Amino acid sequence: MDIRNRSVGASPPHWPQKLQDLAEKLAVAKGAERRSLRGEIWRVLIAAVSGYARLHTYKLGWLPDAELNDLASVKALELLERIDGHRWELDRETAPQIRAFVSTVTRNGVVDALRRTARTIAVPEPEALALPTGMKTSPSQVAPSSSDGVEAMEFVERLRECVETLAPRARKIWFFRVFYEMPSKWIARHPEILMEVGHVDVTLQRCRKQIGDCMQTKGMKVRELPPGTFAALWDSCARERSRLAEGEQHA
Amino acid sequence: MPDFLDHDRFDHAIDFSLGLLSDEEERALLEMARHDPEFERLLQRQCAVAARARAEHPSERKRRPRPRVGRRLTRRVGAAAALVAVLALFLLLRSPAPPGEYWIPVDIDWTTQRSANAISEEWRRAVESYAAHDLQTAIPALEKVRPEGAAASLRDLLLASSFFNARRPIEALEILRRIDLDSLPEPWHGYASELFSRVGQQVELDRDS
Repeated sequence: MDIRNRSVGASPPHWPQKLQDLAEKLAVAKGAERRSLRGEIWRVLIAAVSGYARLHTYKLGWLPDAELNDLASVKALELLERIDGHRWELDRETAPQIRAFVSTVTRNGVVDALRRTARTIAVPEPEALALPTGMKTSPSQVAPSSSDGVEAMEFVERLRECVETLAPRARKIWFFRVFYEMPSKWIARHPEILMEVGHVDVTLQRCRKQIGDCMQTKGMKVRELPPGTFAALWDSCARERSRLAEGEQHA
Repeated sequence: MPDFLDHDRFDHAIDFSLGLLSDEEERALLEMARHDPEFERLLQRQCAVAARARAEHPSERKRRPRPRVGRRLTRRVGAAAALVAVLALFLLLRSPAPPGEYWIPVDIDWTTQRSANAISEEWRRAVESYAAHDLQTAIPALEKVRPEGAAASLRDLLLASSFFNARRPIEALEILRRIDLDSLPEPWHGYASELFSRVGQQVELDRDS
């Protein structure tokens, strides 16, 4: 299945336009608004640079996650300063030019990082590219039998039911830990959570127990999450996120 | 080129992680991800980056919900805060506070031993000049040296501290933002947290002035 066959595949990416809108506002903003806009621009940039960094490392050579994060952080900041210092005039650029520039800056960063770490820069054979490092599926994920597939779908569905029994904020905390591998400290300061670190740990412990008990009543054991779990659960968490936001506004 | 290395897929994943897609587009991507583990993994990683960035961005962190307190208590706290502010302003005008410094205690042998494999004279000299509070030598030396592994975070920490002590808090903040505080063992975690707090205060003060 090719994403380009889907409705989203036909539309151009939205993030360059978002970047242009934010940069336009930043040019006239002052004080707290300016700080907030810089933060928003930085978030768009770090997402774009991280994505492109991963793309380029698949083509050029492997870098550890920590190094990729550093690279994304540095390059995003560099681009932010260019925008803020009017050294990169986004209003004069088209969306494809913005994408190309971010991609080039990121690629150069990847090449430098690979050189620094003395790793060989070579485009691997297409066969090797088919399963890049970090994206390798476990043996059970490769060509699953139809019974495996049905079992996995059943497991994901039961897990989704159990996760939906959690309170909205607890669900999000659990999701952040399990799928984003965020440490408690970061979860605690996420704007949709805002809790004490200790409270996050206690909530996580309760979530695990509640999900474990729930799965047991459904005759399932908690095990390694099969492919499709993130997609299935993100959907329910995203719906819950908007409810949570509404609830907070009315509180 | 294999499909998953298509630029568009990464762009869609970026949009998804930033919440820039319509409901219909999101559904289409999630449906795609359900049938394509590699793409699902890509979405997951992008979302993790975006979530971490939101947690890291300080201006959003400040938007903590205010605790509900009685109006009378609010007035009392407000009056006390105003009094403290007036006193602080008075003291500030009377005698400007000396620029803050924050030096991280460094045991040169132990510190440089941490990167024994990648150790170079450059790294040792950089740490020595930091330990001697020689900012003019320490800053360029720390900027130049590239230790690997855990020492890389330590180098960032020392460099951030040097920038802060050289009254360059913006640069210190930039360095600190790339350190994964949670990955630092004690006592470095404590030093980094303290430095982060001081640098943040200094940046705010400079902006306000």
